[in-house]
Amino acid sequence: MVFLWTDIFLFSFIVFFCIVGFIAFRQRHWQMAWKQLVVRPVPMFAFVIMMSYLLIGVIDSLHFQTKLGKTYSLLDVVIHPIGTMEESSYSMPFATHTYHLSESFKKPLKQAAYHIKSAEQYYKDILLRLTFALIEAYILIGLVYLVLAYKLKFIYQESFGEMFVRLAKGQTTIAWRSILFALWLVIYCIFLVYQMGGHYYIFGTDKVGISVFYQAVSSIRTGLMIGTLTTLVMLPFAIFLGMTAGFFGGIIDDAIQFFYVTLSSIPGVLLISASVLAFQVIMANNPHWFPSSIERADIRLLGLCVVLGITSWTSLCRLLRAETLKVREYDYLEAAKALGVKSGAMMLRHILPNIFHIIIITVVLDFSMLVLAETVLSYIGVGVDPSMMSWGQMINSARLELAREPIVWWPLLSAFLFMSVFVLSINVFADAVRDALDPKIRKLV
Amino acid sequence: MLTYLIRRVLYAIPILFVVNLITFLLFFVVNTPDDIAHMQLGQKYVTPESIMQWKQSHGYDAPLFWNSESRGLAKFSDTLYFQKSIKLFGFDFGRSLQGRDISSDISERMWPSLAIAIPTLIIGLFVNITFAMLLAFFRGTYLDNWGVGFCIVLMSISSMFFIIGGQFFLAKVLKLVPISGFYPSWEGMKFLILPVAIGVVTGVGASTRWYRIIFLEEMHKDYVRTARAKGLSETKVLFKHILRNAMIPIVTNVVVIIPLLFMGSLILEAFFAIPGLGSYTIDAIQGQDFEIVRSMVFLGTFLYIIGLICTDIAYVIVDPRVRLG
Repeated sequence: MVFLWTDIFLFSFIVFFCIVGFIAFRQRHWQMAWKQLVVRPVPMFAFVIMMSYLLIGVIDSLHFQTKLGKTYSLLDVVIHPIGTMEESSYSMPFATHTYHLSESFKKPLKQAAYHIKSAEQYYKDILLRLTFALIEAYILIGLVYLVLAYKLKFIYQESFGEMFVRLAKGQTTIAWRSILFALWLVIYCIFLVYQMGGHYYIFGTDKVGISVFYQAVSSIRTGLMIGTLTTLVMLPFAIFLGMTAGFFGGIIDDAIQFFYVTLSSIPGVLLISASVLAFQVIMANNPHWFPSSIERADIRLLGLCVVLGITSWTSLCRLLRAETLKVREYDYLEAAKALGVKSGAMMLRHILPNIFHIIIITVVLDFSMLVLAETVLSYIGVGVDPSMMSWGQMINSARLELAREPIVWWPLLSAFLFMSVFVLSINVFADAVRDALDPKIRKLV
Repeated sequence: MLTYLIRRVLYAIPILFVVNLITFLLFFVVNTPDDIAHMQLGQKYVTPESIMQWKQSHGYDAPLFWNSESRGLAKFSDTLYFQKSIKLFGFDFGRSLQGRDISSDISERMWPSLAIAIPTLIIGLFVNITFAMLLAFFRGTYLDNWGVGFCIVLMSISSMFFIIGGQFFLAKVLKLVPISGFYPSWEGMKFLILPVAIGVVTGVGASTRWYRIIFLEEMHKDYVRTARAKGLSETKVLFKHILRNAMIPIVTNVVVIIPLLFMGSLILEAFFAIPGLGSYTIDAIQGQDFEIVRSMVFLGTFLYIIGLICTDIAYVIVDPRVRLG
């Protein structure tokens, strides 16, 4: 077992969020907000998709080392042999031969589709695998469905048959039908990967013959890391400075305001690029810090997240300061002050819980922005390490492939699919979270 | 008003100063001039003599903050901080590492950037406000729900996909517009169509969603009820009353970014080979030309602060309730 720095931070983020969630759930108004969220079908669908991405990211963050010093993750083991298959160059998704304009150059693939002898057999094989995955997914989700109906029948006090129909019609308080549908989709995809993975390249291969599907799946971890680690860096700055500025006012407020106005007046991309360039020079001058290339890439990712975090806390800080100014004037704070509660305790026990909804809303809204920002940064050349897989890198290397003759479209398409589904599910969920937590927006429509 | 403005300008100077110091520290203390010389000359086969020579020819051989070898004021002025950083305040950007004059580069490349940025801003504003009003007018209906959903979908797609997809389908497959390039004349207009369209599309999602909330907030105010009670039609209320009041937050938020239009759009210009300031910056970052990056950071900050001051003025102009003092 090896622990990279980013892995440690990801796990501490998850633990931190679980603790916060646990504390929040003992409070009534958070339970109310959550109840508002779980009844809506579309956000719950997005929630399941988001969680499956998170799960893949977590599995990909458990690293092991072989005796020869090669690092691999649990994901590599789970989807073996997809990560190790290799060809000489481009091949289309589900191809049996390499990709060339002229027929005469096409060669059979080395490590995939070797069991295929004729075109007829090829279609039969694909169809068979699709059906098998479908049947397996239906069996599994059917079992889940039955168990769920059995559990729920006690809550609704109905017979099993009535509960079965009620679930199918989607007439439950919690949007179970859409959760089940999302689960079915995820499970179907997983079974498809298992049926196809070792025998075909699901999304083809890229220029050097590596599976594009493997790249896109490994990129999930990078995207997740950028979102979570940046949030982890940003939150202490924003919360502490925002609350202090709003609570104490006066010269402390002025100093903190000057600090964040200064930082936010530098154009974001330029500040990030400048910091990353400076960071790269430090890394180039101290190669002895990083024994292996994977650690090097890891530290660079961490550096990128720190830079992104330092440049992006200002907007949240501003919001928190304004909200603290408002909360400070409430009566119960006046009462707390009269009772002699110390400033620190007052901020922690009375102000923080009352501005916490803003933190949650901003964190989920910013998460998707950070994932999107990575593509732009990678294009500019200040993104993650070139040896690390990320959607930005995939887009960057794929953009010229559309100009090739014949065109190579699958690397771009798979990056597009994987990334857009991830960002879309986060955005849909974030939108619902905002609706549930922001009383102002709730009343508008 | 005037005293307020003077105070704002005086407040802006320390900000610029600190930004200037941060970038200086980032580029000269975190990375010493020796590192920059190493980067520029390549990591291998560099002798200390060639580094010395490179530093001398680019003016990097002075001490950082204090030159004890000079006399009088030259103790301050003969330093890297004065030569490279303080001179930016006089908009003397110096020369890039390739030896080109940055100031003349900027004044030359500003126009193509504006040629893209201004139409994008105006058309984008028009489109966003129209859509947002449409959604707000039909609030709570299927049109509203699907419209907001569509906005979220647009927001979830990286702008890189819009650019690559637009170039591929509209320019390469359908051949409606040229793929990339720039030509400063009327015939060159066709080069602008695609980048402007893509610039508008990438902004539609987030802005429409946000403007819609502004419109909805206005719709719940008392004056709207009064207007309806007077018997005005819903369209008249929307265009005569709500639109005018909703324009206050919209206009003031647009004013901030107007000065920044000069800086251009980074990836849009790079993809469409437009010789503007955005692609200039990207080239500088990719070529690790710290001189240009430093100048652009300074220029960007300066323009942003101008934008903030303009916002305050705009508030007073569009909203008679606001008095600055």
